Amino acid sequence: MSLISTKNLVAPLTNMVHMITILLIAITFAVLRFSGASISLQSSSAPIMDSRTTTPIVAPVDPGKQATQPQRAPAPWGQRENSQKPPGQKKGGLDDIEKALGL
Amino acid sequence: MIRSELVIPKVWRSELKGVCLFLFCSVLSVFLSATFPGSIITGKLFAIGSVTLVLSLPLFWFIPFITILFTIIRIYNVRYVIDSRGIESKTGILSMHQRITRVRYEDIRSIELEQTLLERMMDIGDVEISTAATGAVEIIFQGIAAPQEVQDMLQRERDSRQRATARANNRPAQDTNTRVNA
Repeated sequence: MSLISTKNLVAPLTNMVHMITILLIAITFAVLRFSGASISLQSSSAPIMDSRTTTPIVAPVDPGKQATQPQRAPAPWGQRENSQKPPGQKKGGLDDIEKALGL
Repeated sequence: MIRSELVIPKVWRSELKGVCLFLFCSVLSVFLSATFPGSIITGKLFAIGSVTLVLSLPLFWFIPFITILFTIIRIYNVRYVIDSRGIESKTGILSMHQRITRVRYEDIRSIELEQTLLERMMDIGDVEISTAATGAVEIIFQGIAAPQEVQDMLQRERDSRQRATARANNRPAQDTNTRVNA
């Protein structure tokens, strides 16, 4: 007979002594919960996400410094959309990348 | 005649004091934990990746827990077996030191029953088995259910075995007498 069988699984339920033991252990865990025990999951990535999103909004903006702040380079895909190609030039992906990089 | 193995468990009724103490301590634990929230300790259990498991554990809960733990150990620490060969008592199953005592039916001198008033009301008791070898009690079946029936069963078995032994001892003597007379 295998170790995990219906007979072995039912065996504790047929014995009164085991049944009372199971009941008392269940009561012990109920007491544990009623006493205030708990297991909770805390995600450490949540505070990082909050700081990323809130910092730029909350931080005060100094008009003097605002002018000296380095300007972001425009995205290459934006340049590609705005740039007008000469009519005789071939259209190619590599040319676009070279132009975007300023080569 | 006992043919198969019969396991006699120690019943929960015999540990009524322990169970009542556990129930009282349980109520007390819930009440004290609610009254003193500082007794609930909280701490990080372990972390898996970015998720941390935080456990809150009430310290007062350990009072009923220890009470029931010791009661369970007292129940499952012993095992009494009656089989065709004799009586066996195994104590210390859950402890470091284990003691197994085996007594044959032929060696049993007396079987005594001990019960208090409360135990008589709940039909539980201790059956004490003494042997001719030692003056003291050899085996005690503590806190078993229906001890009167167990005592009667053991006495019947002992009497039948002793009669059979006496018959076997007398037979060679009779055979010798008949041979001498002839």
